[in-house]
Amino acid sequence: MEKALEIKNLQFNYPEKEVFHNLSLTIEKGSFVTLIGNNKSGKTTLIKLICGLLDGKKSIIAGYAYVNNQRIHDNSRFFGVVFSDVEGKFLFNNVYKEMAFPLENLNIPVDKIENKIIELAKEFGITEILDKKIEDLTNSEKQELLIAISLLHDPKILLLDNAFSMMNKKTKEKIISILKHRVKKDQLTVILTTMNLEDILDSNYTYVLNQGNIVMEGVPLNILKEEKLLSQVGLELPFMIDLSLKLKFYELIKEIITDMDGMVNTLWK
Amino acid sequence: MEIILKNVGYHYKNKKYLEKINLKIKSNTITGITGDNKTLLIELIDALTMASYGQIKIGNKEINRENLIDIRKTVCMIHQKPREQFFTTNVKEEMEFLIGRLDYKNKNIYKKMRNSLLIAGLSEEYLEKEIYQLSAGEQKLIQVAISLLYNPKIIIFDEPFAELDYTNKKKLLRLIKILKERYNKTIIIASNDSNMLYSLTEDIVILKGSHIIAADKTVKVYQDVEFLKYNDIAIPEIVLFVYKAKKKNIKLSYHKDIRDLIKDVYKHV
Repeated sequence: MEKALEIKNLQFNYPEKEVFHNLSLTIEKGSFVTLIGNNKSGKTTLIKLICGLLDGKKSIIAGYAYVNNQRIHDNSRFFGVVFSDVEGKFLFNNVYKEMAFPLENLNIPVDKIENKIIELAKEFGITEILDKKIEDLTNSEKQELLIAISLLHDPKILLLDNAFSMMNKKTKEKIISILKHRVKKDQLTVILTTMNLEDILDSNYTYVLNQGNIVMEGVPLNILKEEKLLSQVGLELPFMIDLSLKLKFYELIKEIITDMDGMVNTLWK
Repeated sequence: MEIILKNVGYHYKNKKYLEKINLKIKSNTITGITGDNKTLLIELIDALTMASYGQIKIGNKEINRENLIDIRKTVCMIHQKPREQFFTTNVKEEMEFLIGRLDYKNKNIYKKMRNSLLIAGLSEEYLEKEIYQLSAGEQKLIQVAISLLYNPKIIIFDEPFAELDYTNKKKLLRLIKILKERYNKTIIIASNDSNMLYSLTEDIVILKGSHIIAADKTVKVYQDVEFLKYNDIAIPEIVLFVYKAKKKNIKLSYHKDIRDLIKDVYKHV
């Protein structure tokens, strides 16, 4: 097991507020990890600390080096970062130019840039929007594009801060399967923050954050069994989980079933 | 207050966004609007955008450029992102700003400010708070409190729950119900969250392309699964589950509450 990221005794304060008192966690290379928590649990702050936008003071190790906010340039090759907001994230008004820009910054030859963009666009199935204007895209397409761009420079760690918030269901499923494939094939490490418990089912491992502390961690299915604790920290159970737990209580089913057809078939054979 | 749209349309740069919209939104109900261009439709009702043709009546007043101030006092919109709606950084200043804009004369204005905060479930201490230090949930409630200052008859919410966690979502759901039942407001909710719309709203309007394809009782529209499937509209999960069971010849009935569904399932297993 190789570590992709290690956080040791992280402390962080905003001028008037303490966010992290003493946070430690380790993330394996080639895993898909979710951080779940309510508003104000410290998710976004943690993502900013990990990618070096905020100073973690030598408590964050990514790969073999400390992350700090002095060496933004090195960090940006190592990480891909997408935040939930799509406003103010684009520099050009053309999708192709927007995708080419980060690669031009890395001094990659023009023909290689073109190949790379076309290859990625095919993987994401967005070849038809390449010559579109950014302003004509829907919010869902903008978020999709931001994720695609963040993968252009082949980052080792992809950080997604609630980056599916405006995405429609189909696109989200597509992106998640692309990411899962890359996790398997390229040993990409994905860290996704979310408020939606349904999202954690796609991941290998989940941390539950509340007021800057990890209150629970483990495999998603085990996390979902802690119904009481989840509602205490202000998380809503998705319909299928809620239904499963209630049916299990009446001993109608034995295990949590997240797939609706599977549930119907189990209940009525 | 009743809202009537007669043959309303909107186009911009030769593109038709809304066409031949005929719609009646009943007084003192919670109406959901979902599908394409939903934000545009509520902007037309709020007179933020003027229709290209057709007539929109709020109560017995027709929207035109001369009576905008009257319309502003009757219809209020709670934008999706609180930060886009605030002009100042302090709750009290924000309230005073609005009072100045609407030329509102009331001797007991500070009592009024406190009252609107109380209705929204916030204490009067919030008057002195800085808006940007509040959480997303609190900001949403402050938005509602501010709008209540001038006692609008119609309150429109644009994706109200998008950035809220479960605790805040429950607070806002309660507030919306109180506004309707105790203060007789007409509530419009634009959203793509079919689960929420199914449990909260009484009437529903579904837009597809530039047209309305359904406008009726929520229960009736959302339980017509074939119609929703045909038009590629998201189906509430609780409805979809019953639909799948029915396909297997299990005689479940449609429910809004998961507990009722469980009882029904229990009878049929």
